[in-house]
Amino acid sequence: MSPPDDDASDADLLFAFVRRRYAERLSAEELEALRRSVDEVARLSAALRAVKLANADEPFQRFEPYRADA
Amino acid sequence: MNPVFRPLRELADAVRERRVSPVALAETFLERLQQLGPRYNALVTLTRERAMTEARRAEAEIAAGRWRGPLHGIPYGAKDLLATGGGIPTTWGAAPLRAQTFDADATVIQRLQAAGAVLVAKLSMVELAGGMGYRQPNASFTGPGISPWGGTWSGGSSSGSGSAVGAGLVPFAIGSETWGSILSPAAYCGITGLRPTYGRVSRHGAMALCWTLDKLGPLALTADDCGLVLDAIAGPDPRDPTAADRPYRYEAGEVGGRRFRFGVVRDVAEPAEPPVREAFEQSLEVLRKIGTVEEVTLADLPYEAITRTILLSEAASAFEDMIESGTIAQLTAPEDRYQPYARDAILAKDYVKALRLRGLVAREADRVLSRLDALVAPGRPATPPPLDRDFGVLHRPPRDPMGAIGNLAGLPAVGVPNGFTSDGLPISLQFMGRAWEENTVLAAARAWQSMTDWHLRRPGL
Repeated sequence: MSPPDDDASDADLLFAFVRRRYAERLSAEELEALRRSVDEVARLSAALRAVKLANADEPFQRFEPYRADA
Repeated sequence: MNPVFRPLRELADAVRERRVSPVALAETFLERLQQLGPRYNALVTLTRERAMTEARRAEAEIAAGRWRGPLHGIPYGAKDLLATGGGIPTTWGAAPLRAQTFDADATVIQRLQAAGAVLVAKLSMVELAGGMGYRQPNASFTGPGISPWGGTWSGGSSSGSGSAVGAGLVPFAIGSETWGSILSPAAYCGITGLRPTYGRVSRHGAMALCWTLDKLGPLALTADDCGLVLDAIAGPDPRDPTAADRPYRYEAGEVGGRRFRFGVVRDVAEPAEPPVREAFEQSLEVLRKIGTVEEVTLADLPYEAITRTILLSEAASAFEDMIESGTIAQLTAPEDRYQPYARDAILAKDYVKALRLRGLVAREADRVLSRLDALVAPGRPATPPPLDRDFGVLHRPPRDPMGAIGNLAGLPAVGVPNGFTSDGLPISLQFMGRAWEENTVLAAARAWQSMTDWHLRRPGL
């Protein structure tokens, strides 16, 4: 695999990673469709990153320490 | 008495008064499932032996004066992601798992058994509950789910639960929803479906698609039926840490004269197809007779992107073995065989960001709902699609902000029939409430069904 192009988009780089892991299992058509799915993932990420949060905005998911006898 | 297409209370009265025998009921619905189930690709496994054992037990108990309640002796079907012991397969709708079995019943199955209900069938579903990103109805080894209304798609992923109830093959069924999997088959099969609050019903023994989004709930003919079933399956469960420590009792009181406060999110029907928009506008006129209807606005947040990021990430982890091993190549829908690989591109920080944004969404939804009994919206933005339809990128038809918000915030919703297209295809309406307000949204849905007769229409079989 050649080193990433400086002008490559995030989606290009992410797809290069996905392709490296799974390309041998997939046809050319499937790879093309997979590229579109990676583009969709990049769009989702961009939408999330566009919203600013405060440092105090925690994940909305509670963690509880565990004790078997509690 | 013909027991087909009867609401649960009628069946329960007949069973309690011994006008109908649980054994005869089981035989009737087993026969219908066997004869008509294949027409709708609704059936995975007929649980005849278990059903007859449970029905005979119910009959003996009732004869001895030990009536357990309104589900005693009533047949039902379970989506095939709920574990069942006794060698009955639990396939998750996936070809490579056709022979999968579990040692014990899921908590929901156990609770229904304790209520005296009779399991007659494991019902079909979209493979892995749609978690691989299917884009077409044909996404299960049992074939595409088919609605009894017009032969279109049944909706999914609880396809068999929807079509079996809609075709009168079972009086009620259990489905699951991560995003749309109860409300969509309820809508496309012309029946009523209840998505409970996240944590209301134990998921122990249910296939995990997405731990922070998965919910189990009933599909039935009426909102009252859904309440009766929820009453039996809800409640804490030490085997599911997300099952809330909140006992639940269905409140089935009279709704006549009660005034409701309904909200409509601005432009909520905008993405819907024209017949859905038209039916929704007409439904608002009916709702104004039982309450107030006001327009509300929600903060501008990427609701669908947040929900989708969580769903894609957790599903990729839940099915990591199948994805990494390449077992997904054996799935039915071609896109399910490769699309999950794209989830390696989701960064951990984006998943965590989605979980942080989830708090904003939950607070925003509660801010709006705290002044209302329910938000109302189209049950689905689309009309039932034909079986050869490609749903488009990442399988979501027109935008579904209500589904994204409701599932992201874990809010209860009831989907009810709301008319038909000119082609005779069902359209639905949803009531979505504040967390833990199942009784409020069920009351609103009962009030709606007391003023309309859409839920009484039956397909020509």
